[in-house]
Amino acid sequence: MKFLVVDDSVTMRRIIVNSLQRIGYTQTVEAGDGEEALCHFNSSIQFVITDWNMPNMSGIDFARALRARPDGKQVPILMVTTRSMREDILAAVEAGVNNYILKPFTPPTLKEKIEQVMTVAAGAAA
Amino acid sequence: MTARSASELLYDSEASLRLVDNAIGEFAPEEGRHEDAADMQFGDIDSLTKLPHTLFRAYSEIRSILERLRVSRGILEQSAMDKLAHMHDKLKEVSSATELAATDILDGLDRSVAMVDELDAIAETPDSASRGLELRGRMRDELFGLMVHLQFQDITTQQLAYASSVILDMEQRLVQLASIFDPKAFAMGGSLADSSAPVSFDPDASNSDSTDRQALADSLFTVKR
Repeated sequence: MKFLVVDDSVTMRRIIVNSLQRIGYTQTVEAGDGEEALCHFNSSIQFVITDWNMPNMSGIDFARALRARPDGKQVPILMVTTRSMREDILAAVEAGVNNYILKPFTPPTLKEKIEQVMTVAAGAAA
Repeated sequence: MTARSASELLYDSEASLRLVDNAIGEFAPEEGRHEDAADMQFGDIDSLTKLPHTLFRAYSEIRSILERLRVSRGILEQSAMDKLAHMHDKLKEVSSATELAATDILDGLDRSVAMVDELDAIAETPDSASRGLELRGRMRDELFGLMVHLQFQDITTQQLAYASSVILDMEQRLVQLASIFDPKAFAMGGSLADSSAPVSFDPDASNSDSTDRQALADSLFTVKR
């Protein structure tokens, strides 16, 4: 499975990519903000992990833009962010985000959320 | 405090300080006119009779100026204190998060070094292969854990960006107030920070209570899904 990892922090991208490799996902593409992520997105991407607070285009705007594209309507989106206010989380739900992880996270949490999203996606497709 | 109410308070402060400035201007002696008692001629009875009135007017103006300054100070305090208090909390959190992460990383390194020593010690033992395999697995987990601890950097970066934005906001307010008294001196003054630089941060970013915050996110996603 190929992942698109979007975060303006190089450290965070590295931690997420390394965590993915550790739980068995080795194919990743990286982007530093929503605009760059939209450029990198194509039909080969099967899972998106994005931060919220980024320059140029935020993760929430990226999620909305992705859901507006015909090829981005179904791709699972997992948001990994510090934003924990109730209204932010609800905004993410409304934007089409499939699941939500608060930083700092642990690799088992990342694995659990990816599996949850994939299970729901598989159920919806069946 | 919302940005709108802060801006309204700043407008009120400016208005008060402009009144103060006008009052000072009115009280200043006109050119060529001497109101100083020492400059008056002894025989200038008319001036002497006016002196108590002049002093009383000066007293009233000074009281009025002090009252307006007090009001301005209160408005400024009200608009700034919440932000400064939040900034102070965030900076304290940066300090403790940095120390906690450094301690966790050092602890992890200590444990990793001890595992290397243990690998050396078991190298010559009959079951070195199986024990070495288990130990290397534990060491990989330990080293990976160190990498995960480095997430504090992303969170503290956002907390520092928030503190920086508050300082920049305070600077702009002070420049606006100072320019009321001396517009020429502040007309050309640039800001301390490059306001055109894209900055995106979460003002509530935190390392603490991550379990509770994750539980809230999980509950909202479960309800909405």
